[in-house]
Amino acid sequence: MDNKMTNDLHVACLNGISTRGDDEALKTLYDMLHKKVYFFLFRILGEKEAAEDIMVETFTVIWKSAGSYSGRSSVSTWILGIARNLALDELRKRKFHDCVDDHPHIAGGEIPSMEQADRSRVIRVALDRLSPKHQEVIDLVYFHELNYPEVSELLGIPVGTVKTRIFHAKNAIRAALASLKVGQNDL
Amino acid sequence: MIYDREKLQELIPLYASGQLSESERHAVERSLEKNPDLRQELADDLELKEAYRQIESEVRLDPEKLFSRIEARIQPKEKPAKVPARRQPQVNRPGFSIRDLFFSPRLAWGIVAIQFLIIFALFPAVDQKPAFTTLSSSPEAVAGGVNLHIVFREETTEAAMRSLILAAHGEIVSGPSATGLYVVRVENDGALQEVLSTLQNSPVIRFAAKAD
Repeated sequence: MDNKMTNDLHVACLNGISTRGDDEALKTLYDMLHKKVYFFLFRILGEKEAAEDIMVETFTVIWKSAGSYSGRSSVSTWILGIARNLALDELRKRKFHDCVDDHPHIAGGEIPSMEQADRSRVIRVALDRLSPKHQEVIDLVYFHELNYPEVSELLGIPVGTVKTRIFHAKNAIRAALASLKVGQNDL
Repeated sequence: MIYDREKLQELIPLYASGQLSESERHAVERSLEKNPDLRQELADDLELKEAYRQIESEVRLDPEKLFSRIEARIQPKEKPAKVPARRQPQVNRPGFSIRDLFFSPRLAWGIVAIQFLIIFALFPAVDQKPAFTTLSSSPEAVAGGVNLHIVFREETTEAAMRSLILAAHGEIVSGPSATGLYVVRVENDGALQEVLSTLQNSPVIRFAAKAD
């Protein structure tokens, strides 16, 4: 199914929810998107239980406000936006927002040796060490497969900022790989 | 179509996930052939995507359990868009029409009022005459005439009846009753007895007498 067909189906589900209170439509939407939403939340919150709680909250909000979808972005982007706002509220409650950094960085911690780490694992460690803002754009582009304008819409930032964050995030990953003695030339 | 380096870097992840249009894909592939840096960019992106696939595969989730939590949040109070089931017509349910018609007390009283109006409107139009006539009953005589009770024999044709009544200069006032009785008015011009006698002697008439 191509992106347009998928989005049309998502829109039909939202219509079913808003006009008929159709819980089957909500279930269909959930079946199609729960993995994406959960993964997105897990990456922001870093905890399984918190990600589950906010996912339940997200689909409850979708149920209540399906009629407010304007069609400006795709349904999945709109839903990720709802999930993100709820997750950020949760982080604010926990006062974790101090951790949000504008610049990519490499945090401390144990670095796996090359003997135990395959290339993919090294990248994963590097991903985890990105600042939340850079991790977020990389997640949206490479996991959620959004294009730059969609990321811009979702995060409420200019497309230029998206490009800059991607650029810095990828450089940070390369730097992390280099520090792990995985040279860029090996990739 | 020719893209600059920045645009190509933007398109590479979309190329890796197969989201580009035909023309964009061709443009990216042409650039990939010429540009080793871009090929490296693509290789990096593919590895990133592979890393995400592994992270995703490690996610442990019980989607049904989570959905039941969502359902608990949205039911029953938070389903405003749904019309309550009892108000929806259920055509397969016996007796639904009466129950549904009288579901609203206001509607039921309205229907009763309309029924009364119809009854009162039709009441004057109902024929006040009895549904049957007996030999002792006396339909009012038309002024200037005398009413006769006549019973024709069963086999008498309508044409024979008509010609006999015309010959007597009479007209049917009412009938036939359930017993075959006609009330026929004839002129009271002094020849009444002769007319009556003629009728009584007619082979098609079983009974003829003056109505009192």
